[in-house]
Amino acid sequence: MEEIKKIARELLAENKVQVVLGFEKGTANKVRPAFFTKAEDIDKLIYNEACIHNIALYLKKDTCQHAKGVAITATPNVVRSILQLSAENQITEEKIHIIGITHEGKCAGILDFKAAEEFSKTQPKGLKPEDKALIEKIQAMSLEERFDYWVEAFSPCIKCYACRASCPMCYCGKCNVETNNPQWIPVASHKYGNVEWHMMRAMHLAGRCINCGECNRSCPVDIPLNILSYMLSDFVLDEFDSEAGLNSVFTSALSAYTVVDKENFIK
Amino acid sequence: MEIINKILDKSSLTVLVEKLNASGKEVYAPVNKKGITEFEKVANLQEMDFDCIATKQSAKSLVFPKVEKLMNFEKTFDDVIVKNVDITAFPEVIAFGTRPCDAAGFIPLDAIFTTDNVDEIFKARMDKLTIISISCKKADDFCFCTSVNGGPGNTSGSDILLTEMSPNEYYAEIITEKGKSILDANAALFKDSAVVDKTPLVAKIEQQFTEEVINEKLKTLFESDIWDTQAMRCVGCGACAFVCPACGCFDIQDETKGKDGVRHRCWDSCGFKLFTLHTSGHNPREKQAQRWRQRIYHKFSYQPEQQKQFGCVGCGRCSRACPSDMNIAEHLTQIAKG
Repeated sequence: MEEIKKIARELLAENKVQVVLGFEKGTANKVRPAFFTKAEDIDKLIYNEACIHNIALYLKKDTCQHAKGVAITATPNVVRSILQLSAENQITEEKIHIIGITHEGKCAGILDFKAAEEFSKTQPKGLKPEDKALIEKIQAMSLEERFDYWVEAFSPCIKCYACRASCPMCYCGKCNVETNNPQWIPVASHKYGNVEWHMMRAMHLAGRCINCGECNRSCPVDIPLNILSYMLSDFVLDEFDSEAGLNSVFTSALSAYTVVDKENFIK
Repeated sequence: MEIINKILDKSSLTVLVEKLNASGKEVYAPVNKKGITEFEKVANLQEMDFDCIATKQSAKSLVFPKVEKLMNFEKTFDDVIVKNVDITAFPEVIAFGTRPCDAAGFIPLDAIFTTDNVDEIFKARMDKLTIISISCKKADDFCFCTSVNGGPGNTSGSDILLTEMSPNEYYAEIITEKGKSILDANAALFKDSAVVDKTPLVAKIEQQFTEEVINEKLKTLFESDIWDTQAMRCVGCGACAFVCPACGCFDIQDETKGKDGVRHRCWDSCGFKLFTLHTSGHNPREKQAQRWRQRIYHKFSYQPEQQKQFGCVGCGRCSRACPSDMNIAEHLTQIAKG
């Protein structure tokens, strides 16, 4: 922790960055994302196992967009998000100083994008045992049962869009659900409105989601959206041998064609 | 009317809920389903989660559902035939086991829908709602009802308020005519009682700020940079507004298929960029900080001014649900002290 603080303090003191994006103690038992602009404030910077929010989200927000340089305390999920944002030309390497934090919570020092790619590949991907169990349960279902499962799972959705708002990959200035001429997705959170919204979002994230689970963590009604994205990522890996969050250059499976792409869907 | 004081045994309470159900009323109470407690329709008290401090979502959906049909319409060659929702068909609903803050939440919500112009659909649902609350024995770090004129044993908004005196006995305050009609129909279940001092029976919740100080401070804070500082980590979702018992903003959506269509009312939030976006492309609340400021001003300045009450009951749901710990009580305390 002290090493992370030392790096953050130096970056601010030397004016290499104007903002350090990290965590601070929140209210009650919570931790929360925080923006540090002065070296003396770094005392308040914390990192512990509760700091699971994917703060790469804020790299696209005003505070970071307006700064020349930004440092970010980055767990493996955050690093993967940064790489994916770079691959999609949303951020540039010159501006971002990644202070890597391993899955064990150890400081990995400052990572340039090349080092971040290596870091991302070597850090294990965590899937909670209950998530694994749910995936197995869904995989054992017939297609009809799966559809019914998801219709039921989406039914408590209140369309607060916390899943979208907290997802670093949902950076579109105008979301498809906000388009109303024509109205692709019903706004109402009734059965079909919910199914179409979540299906649309899942499809737009296929091959781009880095599986941080932030959508599920943010959801006030606890819809297992992370499972939906995980299963799609798994599918993209199988079909296209492509995985999000490993490269800082364009690798999107669903936006690129290669000669080895399977064409077995053409019948 | 003057409050009628009664005592209700736990066994009588169980019978009361069964009788309410048997009389054709729909009873909703906090039910724990897969770790999340929400208001659900119950057949008996065994299903109820008595321990829950506050359900994840408020009870507002009983009168203001997340999506509600307002009317059907049909286009003909030269006309549109409108078929309004039959408001006489709404069921009699009992909100049971609501907390005093839930009950108080219906007051600002009702004011939104009935000041100036009366929303007939909302009013019809509200008229058929009876609220039987239970005082809070416990509170958590997010509760702040005592800072917004509420309290763990507050009677505002409830038709009947129950306060646990012992595991087997509840003190029942019959507050309104609606409450009295339940008492009259089930008189044998209630025993007479003197006024009971509820203070030792309810949770202690420290007051963090006062209405006067907030009102005074907000008069000069509109252009302050405090909104930028506070809203920096806000992700801009609508979770706070949607779990709030007092947030009443909505969107109207028409869904058509061929010549037939349905008009829906759907929850909306001032935290969304789209909420104020003009057709021209101009947005008077372009930044999240401006939208956060609107949330605070509406609840703590505009509503007190127009409707003589806060648009917040201190239930703390927004703060519990927020993915980035935007804690409204913390921010208001900061404003009060600043």
